[in-house]
Amino acid sequence: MLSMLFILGGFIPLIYADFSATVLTMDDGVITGRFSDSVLLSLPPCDQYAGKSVDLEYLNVNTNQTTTLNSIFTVANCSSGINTVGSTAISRNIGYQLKNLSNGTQYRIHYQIGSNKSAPTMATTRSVPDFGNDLSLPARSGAMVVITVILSLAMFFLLICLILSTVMSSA
Amino acid sequence: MIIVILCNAFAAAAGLALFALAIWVAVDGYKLYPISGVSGKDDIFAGAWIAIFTGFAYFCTCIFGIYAARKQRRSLMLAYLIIMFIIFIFECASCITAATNRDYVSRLLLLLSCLQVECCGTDSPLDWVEYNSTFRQLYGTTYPWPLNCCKRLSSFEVADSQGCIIGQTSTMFTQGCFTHIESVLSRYTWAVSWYGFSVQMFVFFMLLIAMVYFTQLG
Repeated sequence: MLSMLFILGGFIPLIYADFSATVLTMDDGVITGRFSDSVLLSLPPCDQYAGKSVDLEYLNVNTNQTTTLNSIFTVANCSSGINTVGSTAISRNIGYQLKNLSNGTQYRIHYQIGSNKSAPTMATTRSVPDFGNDLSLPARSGAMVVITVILSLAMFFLLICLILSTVMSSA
Repeated sequence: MIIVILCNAFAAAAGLALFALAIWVAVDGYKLYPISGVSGKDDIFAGAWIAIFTGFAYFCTCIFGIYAARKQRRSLMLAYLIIMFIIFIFECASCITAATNRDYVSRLLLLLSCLQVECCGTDSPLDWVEYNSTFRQLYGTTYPWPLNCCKRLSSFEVADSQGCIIGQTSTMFTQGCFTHIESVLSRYTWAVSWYGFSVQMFVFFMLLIAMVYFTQLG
């Protein structure tokens, strides 16, 4: 009986999680959803939450610090698709860009619309390593070695033959 | 003597072809130099310039060799052999320089996008986001990638700069520049390095025959 209650209790958070904030990918029409200081998140479903104001809460896994952003945007109607005007991802109805993040950090993000809470998603911002010399072509090709060896040997052989032919013809 | 003359005639033609080929590489119809020049890895063009000299020098010296073989004079043949040997050394330098350039091309060089070819980044625009670069240090994170990556109108203005900054795939060039640049670089390398190498091999055997002829003249 107790174990049944525990199992049911484990499902309680999922009762409210009927949608989730996912990081946008190439399939959503953007190059990437992960940058070094921001992430592009998908919007809540318009059929359920059109016109509702959205809050966002994210947790920095490293520092364990939670940040809440209130009324970041209002969910657009389903009739308005992706438009080509607007200076931000949200004004174009593509997604929401969560900014001011640290690079190379993992975040746990979820939307809050009224009493509805989305399923949390984990997103990691990109770390930005410097270009090192090891990013050149990983191996040297054989062409370099072949050409150098063969030409060097040919040159040496020609030199020897030139000297010999000069000596022989003068002898 | 006939063999020497025929070989020299063939070598003169090959030298002239090398001269023309090296001019083609140096003219850089594929506009590779602006990219390779910035990174300092422009040895392919150094190899091409040397090959312009050696190709024409081979042509002139082989004609002289035909004359020397016809005259059957030892001094002329000796001069011919020494000059050919010197040119041989220079052409070796050209081939090796051009061949090594291929391997020293780094991905940093390929990170530069170019206007002539509709491409962005080495493999994709993600290269601009994944790695640190001078561009990022100069412009911060407001622009994830240069506006060269954005599709343009016929008037060369950016079609949709805001969409490009957000990263909408419909407003950007998503293919990387690596494939294009690598194919152009390989084309130039094959021209200068490998054709030059084949000319060298022919000249090597021709010089051996000329030396045998020279010893017989004594």
